[in-house]
Amino acid sequence: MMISFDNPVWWFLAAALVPLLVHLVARTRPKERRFSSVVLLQELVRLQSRHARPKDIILLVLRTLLCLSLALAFLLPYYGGSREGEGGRALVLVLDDTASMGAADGQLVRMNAALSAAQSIVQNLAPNDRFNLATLAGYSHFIFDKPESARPLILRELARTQSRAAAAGDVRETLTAALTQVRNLPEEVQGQVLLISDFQTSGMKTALDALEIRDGELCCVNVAQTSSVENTSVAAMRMTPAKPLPGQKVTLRVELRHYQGAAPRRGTVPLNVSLSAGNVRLSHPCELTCGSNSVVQFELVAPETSGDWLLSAGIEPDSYSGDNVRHLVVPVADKLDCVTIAADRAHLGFMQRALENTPFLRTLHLPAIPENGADFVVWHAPGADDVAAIQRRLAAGETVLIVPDMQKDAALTPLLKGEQGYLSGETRTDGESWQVSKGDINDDSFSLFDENALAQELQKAGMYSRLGADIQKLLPPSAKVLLSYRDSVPALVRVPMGCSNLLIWNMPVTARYSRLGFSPMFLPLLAEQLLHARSSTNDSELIAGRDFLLFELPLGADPSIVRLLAEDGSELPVKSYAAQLQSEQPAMPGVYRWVAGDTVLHTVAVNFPATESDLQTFTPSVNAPVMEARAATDNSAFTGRIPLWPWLLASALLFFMMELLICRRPVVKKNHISS
Amino acid sequence: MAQAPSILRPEDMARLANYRFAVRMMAEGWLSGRHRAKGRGSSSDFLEYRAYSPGDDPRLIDWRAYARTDRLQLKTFEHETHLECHLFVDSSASMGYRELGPISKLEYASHFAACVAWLVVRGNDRVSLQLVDDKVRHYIQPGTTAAHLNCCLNLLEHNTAGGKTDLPQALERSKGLIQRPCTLMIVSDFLCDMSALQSALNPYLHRGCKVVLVQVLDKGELSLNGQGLARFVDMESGARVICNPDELSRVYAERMHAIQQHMYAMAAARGMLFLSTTTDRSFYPLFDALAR
Repeated sequence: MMISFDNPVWWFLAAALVPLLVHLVARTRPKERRFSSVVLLQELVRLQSRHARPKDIILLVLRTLLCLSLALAFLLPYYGGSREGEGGRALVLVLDDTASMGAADGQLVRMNAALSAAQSIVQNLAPNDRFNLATLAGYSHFIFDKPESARPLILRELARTQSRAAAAGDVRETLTAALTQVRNLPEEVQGQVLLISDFQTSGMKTALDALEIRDGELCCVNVAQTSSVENTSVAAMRMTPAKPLPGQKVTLRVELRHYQGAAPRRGTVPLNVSLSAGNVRLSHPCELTCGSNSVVQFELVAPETSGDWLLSAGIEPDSYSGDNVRHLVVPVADKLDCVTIAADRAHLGFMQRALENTPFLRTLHLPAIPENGADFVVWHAPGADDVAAIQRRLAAGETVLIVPDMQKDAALTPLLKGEQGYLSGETRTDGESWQVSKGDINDDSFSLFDENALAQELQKAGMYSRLGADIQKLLPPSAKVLLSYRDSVPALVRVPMGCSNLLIWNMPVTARYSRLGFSPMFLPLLAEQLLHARSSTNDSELIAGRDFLLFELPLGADPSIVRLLAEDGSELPVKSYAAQLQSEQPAMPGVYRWVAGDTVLHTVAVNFPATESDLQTFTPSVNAPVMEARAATDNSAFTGRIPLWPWLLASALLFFMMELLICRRPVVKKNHISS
Repeated sequence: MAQAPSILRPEDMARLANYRFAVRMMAEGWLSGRHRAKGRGSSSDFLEYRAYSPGDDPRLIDWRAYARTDRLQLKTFEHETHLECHLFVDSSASMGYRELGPISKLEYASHFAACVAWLVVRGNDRVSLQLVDDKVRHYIQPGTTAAHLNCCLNLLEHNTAGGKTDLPQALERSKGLIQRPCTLMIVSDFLCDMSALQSALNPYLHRGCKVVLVQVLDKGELSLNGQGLARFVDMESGARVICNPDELSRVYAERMHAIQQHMYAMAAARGMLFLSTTTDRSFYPLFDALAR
């Protein structure tokens, strides 16, 4: 530990000679005077010099010290820290630049406080100490593979860094990589990871809890001034159905959320939700209870033409305005893809024929599950091996209708229960049949039907084969029994799974086991059930800052004429991968259009990450010191360097005050000298 | 009277024509003169009656008083004798100083001494002259003739400042030249050790001499003048002192005043007469003071 200088302009120390030079230059050559006797003068001068000479010397010393202090302060000395030339420290800066860092926290934006702390810490370290920098938003990346002596480059990068409206990437992976870099340093280099973040609960807590940190490896700088910042956001937009047909009535649910600040308050927040859907502009005032969710519902009619339908919902902007607007792109298609899978097409029977005759369906029969997704999958007699494929389909938002094997079903038990098992079928041989009646009469899927007419048709059908009552034990609470037998065995069940629905059709339709396939009600009943079982979620939307914009080129399209335009009309660079185009950078919130000439091929909306709307923070309880941003900036507690220039300036001021005091000191009484 | 040298100016003689050199004490000479002596003498001024005692001169018996009182009374008269004045003129280098005055201190002292000598000789008294610095440079024995005065004036006129001031030593050396009670007039700036001067004057005082100290200073010596740093060079020793007259002027003036007060007190305590003047003032008031 020793005193070092950040600004080694040593020649500046010559400023200390200024008072001496001024003294020598300004010293007047005394005028010679012949005098009768200087005995008395000698005596008086001797008496007075006892006061005058020490004063002059003290003044000269004070002025010299004053200039020396100022010159030393200009050299920016500091005490402690690593010595220049040793390169004894390595610092891996992990800077949180997610959307929550853009929140105005007190009088400072969190990101500005973070950058200020980072720059101060980097500047306080020696120039040849090693640095690396990683950011957390989106795909985190390090500037170097390992810490390098490149302080100017790090400072330049810090100056360019700003908060991005993106969610955090894999925080744990980034921190693990940073810790690995520190652990791989040579033994003589003291390494440390510096995590500068607001420690937002939703983005950081899990990752930090999962880390294994050794002593001294990690230092946390918390830039959040308050534990939470009040915020109102448009949390989600959900359309039912998710993929409407042209001219179809749809329901749009706009979910609003209010997050309490550090000082929670009661009452409601008046809001005005404005919706833009094509040419339609709607507005809906509402009151949002503080700290809770609220849903505003809009009834709309889908456009008459197929294509992407852009809907934008917004509320009045607040101080954290990124999440006050949300977009939803709804594909409006006049034909929905339906894939039927059956080992033996004859078993699919009348259902297959009904599907092919449904006007809004484009039916394709395949012997096995295809790679490309479809809107509906009608699966006859799936086996236990097909469960994984069904789950993937459901997770992808496809509606799967299962017609189980009425003899012995092996798919529903693992699908609904998660364990191996079988369901036994039942067949009536006594000449009687099972009668089906409506289960949930209020379900929208029955809104087209006259209740009596449907009941008569179902009664006429009379089922002779079905899965037994054991199926009832498999159904989760969220399952909705739409049709059931008189003995309460479910006949038609809609089970929400993933982001879609699973339809279990426990009714035979062939002429051998029922007359349902001949009923005039059969086709509309099947079509309505499919339509109302469609996905009504947008959970699969792109994650800002992490996901790239993709576009599947139409068959035979020239990729060179397809461009990607941002909301403001600027063109974004894209890369071409065979029949797919991809944006070069991860998408940030906004509306993007893939265009070919003047034709809009596809519209994509990227929304503000919902996880970043909650600005609640936490104090990390990791095995690492946690300091405030101001402490990291001012006290140099992290770097261990104590800047000395403030003390030197104070010393200079003190010397100046002492000089003033001495100069203003009253003259000694002459009587004292005379005596 | 012979024509006076230029050091004795006609205007001075005209101004001092009505003055008579005398001191406020009785002289003790051995020649008859105009000055009252301590003893009884044969002058016409009645002194006192004294009872007759055997051995007294019977011619002094006042027979008329005897007729009135039937007692023998002697009628005594004042003794009048001549006056012997010894002039000491300090001729050290410091006397050559001149700053604010029209003439140097030595010229002023010489003029004054010349006038005194002229007054003394004009009163048929004896005057001697000694030019001293640290020794007696020139000595003219007491005399009362015009030629003697002329000699004194010539010496004063051609006197130059030089040598170091050591008035006590000069007085010590001239002690052998003065045998009888007389009047000593020392004209000097008295920039010397006062205690030594006092010691040197003691033999003369004990011998009954009347001592008159005439201090001649330049006005610039009473208060320091000038601005800025100055190097003061001693005219006698060549010693140098660097100081700022602005800073010292007040202290210096007070110190000079204190020294003068000290000399006044010392002179008064020992029956001496101390007179002080500066070269920018006329020396006629000094004669007024001498005549009082």
